[in-house]
Amino acid sequence: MNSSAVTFMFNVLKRPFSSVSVTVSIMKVLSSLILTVSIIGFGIGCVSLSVKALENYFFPLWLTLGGFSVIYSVAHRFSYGRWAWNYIALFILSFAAGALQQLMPEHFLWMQVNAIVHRSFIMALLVFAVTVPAACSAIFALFGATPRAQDISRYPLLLAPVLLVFSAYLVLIINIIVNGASNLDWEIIVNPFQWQSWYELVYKNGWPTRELMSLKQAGMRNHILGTLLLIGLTAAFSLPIGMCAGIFIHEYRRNKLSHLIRWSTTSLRVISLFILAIAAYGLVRHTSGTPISDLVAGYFYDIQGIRHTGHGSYLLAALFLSLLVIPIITRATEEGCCSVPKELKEASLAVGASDNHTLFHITIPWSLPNVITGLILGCAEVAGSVAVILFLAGSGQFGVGPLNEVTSLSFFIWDCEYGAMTFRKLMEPYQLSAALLLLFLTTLLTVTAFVLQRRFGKRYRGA
Amino acid sequence: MPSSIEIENVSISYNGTKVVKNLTLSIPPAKVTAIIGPSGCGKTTLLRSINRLSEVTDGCKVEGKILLDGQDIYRMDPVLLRRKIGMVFQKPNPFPKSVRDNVLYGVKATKINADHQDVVKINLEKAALWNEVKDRLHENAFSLSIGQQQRLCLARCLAVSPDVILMDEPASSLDPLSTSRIESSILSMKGEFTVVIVTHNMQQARRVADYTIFMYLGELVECGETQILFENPKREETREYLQGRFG
Repeated sequence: MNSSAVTFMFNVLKRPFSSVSVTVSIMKVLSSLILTVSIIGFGIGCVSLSVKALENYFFPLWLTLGGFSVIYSVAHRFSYGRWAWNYIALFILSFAAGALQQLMPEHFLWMQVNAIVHRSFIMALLVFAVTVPAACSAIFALFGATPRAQDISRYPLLLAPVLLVFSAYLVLIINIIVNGASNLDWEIIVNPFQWQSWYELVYKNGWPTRELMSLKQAGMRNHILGTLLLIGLTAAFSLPIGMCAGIFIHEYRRNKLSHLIRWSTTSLRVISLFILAIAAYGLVRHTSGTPISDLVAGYFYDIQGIRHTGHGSYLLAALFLSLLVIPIITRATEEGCCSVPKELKEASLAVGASDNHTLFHITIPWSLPNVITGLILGCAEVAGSVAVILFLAGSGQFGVGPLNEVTSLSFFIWDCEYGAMTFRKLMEPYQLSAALLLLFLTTLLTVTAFVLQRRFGKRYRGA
Repeated sequence: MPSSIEIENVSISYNGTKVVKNLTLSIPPAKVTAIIGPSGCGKTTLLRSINRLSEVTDGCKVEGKILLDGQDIYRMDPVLLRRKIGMVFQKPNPFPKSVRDNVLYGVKATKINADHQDVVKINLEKAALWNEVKDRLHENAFSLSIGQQQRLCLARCLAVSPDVILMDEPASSLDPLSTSRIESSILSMKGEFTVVIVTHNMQQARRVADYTIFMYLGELVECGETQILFENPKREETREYLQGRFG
């Protein structure tokens, strides 16, 4: 046995007994514990933004985090001869937070208005403030305190806001699904809302008497169909106009008129929706009594066959909503046209195709994925926007057609809160059900947009 | 019928910068003419002005006369002109359509009534591609290899039966095997078309061209039969370029 082998074996035997290597492995274990605890703590913090009972789980969090960090700091002192100040700070912060939670009153008045904030909300914010740096430090230590470890250790900082927003979104969706689905049944979907009352001549003991009759029915069929009709009409108005405008802007880039169109679509995009609503309402008011009143205001017959004039028809609402969607489609078309490779256009021109032929066979097919995506996202916006139809919409109990009074699911949600007494009485329990349906519809549209974009991209762009 | 091209005193400028300066030359019909020269000497610009594709680029201005069979091309309809003058580009640029539709694109655009299946077969054979793609005519052109794509572009250009074919460094992005196939197609097109090929590969010019034009910094330095130009150049710059002293 030569001497180097002896030295090697001696080193192997010696290694476990070195105090430095023991403390270093303790530090590794501690960092992974701290990382685990902060990830769990962050999760609890996210959920406790909406569930206040979870605040009791914060105490073990403060205890373990504070304890582990103080042990870590001592181990650091043994290994490297100095305290780990960031872990000391972590220890102080956790124990201060625990003490604060003990001393804090259970509720707060938020900015002197009557919104009451529970203690757990503020503690959750503190949890984020402590767990994110703790996770960063733990990852830094776990990866060996190298420059690469420094790069990796910033991930908690980048991920935390994303997770926070996502969890807020998740809480909203879960709330809508749980509370909305519990009321939702088949009857409510297939029946239209009805609340009509009238007097009828009834003979009682041979005497004619006027009796109050009424028809009351909860349901949202017309709101669902109305949303679909609104989407369809708006798409029919805005797709040709938006595509034409987009193609014009692209084909005649240097033209003055093209600049004007681009400017006006942009300004349409930023206009307040309530201004559109006021304009639409003004149109209804000022055309009443004129021949186009039926087109603009809409009309319907009640249960006794009496003709009424509405506040605004689907046609008018779709026209004003298309002002919202046209800029989206124009922009999408223009972007699609601009993304056509120059080589393809030149290849088309070089084989003797005219500009028109190139437009219809190269440029438009290439931009179709963009157009479709723009259209569908615009439709999702139409389904969700209540501001434009706020002054035009009604309860939708008299049917769905281009010249009926407009209504939609998003207006249903508004109506449950601020609408007529009759409507609120019947439909208030179904507010979140409508929200659930709306969420489902918009998700469906968005997913369709992505699927179509991929499929059309494969078909028309070959990639 | 192959046509001749006369270029008379042509200057081309981009936003005021002259790229081609007072060029006069003639390109004989039914022959292969190569334009050689170092990068940035205006070869491609000159080529693109022959089928008026330079008009598509913003800020490009062409002065002088270019005659196709004695007719001024700037008095012709550009679309009709481009039907007579086909072009193959440096980078293969097939359309995102099937192989068949790619070949027939020009035919359909120009409303030529032809038996489509025949057109596809004949032109793919001319471009030496038929045997490789005859079973995949309905696949997307992007599924072909780069060399096959370039030959597909050649077939697409041949399908409208032009008189002149312009080639802008058609083999610069291809492997040697595809290059030799393209070159053999060019050689087989001799007599049927007037071919103008831009290249900065001197050996390629030597292999395929009947006539060679040497351009340097936007000016015509020397032109003549390939054999004579390569073996016995008259001008000192040509000799130096051919020997690889610059460029």
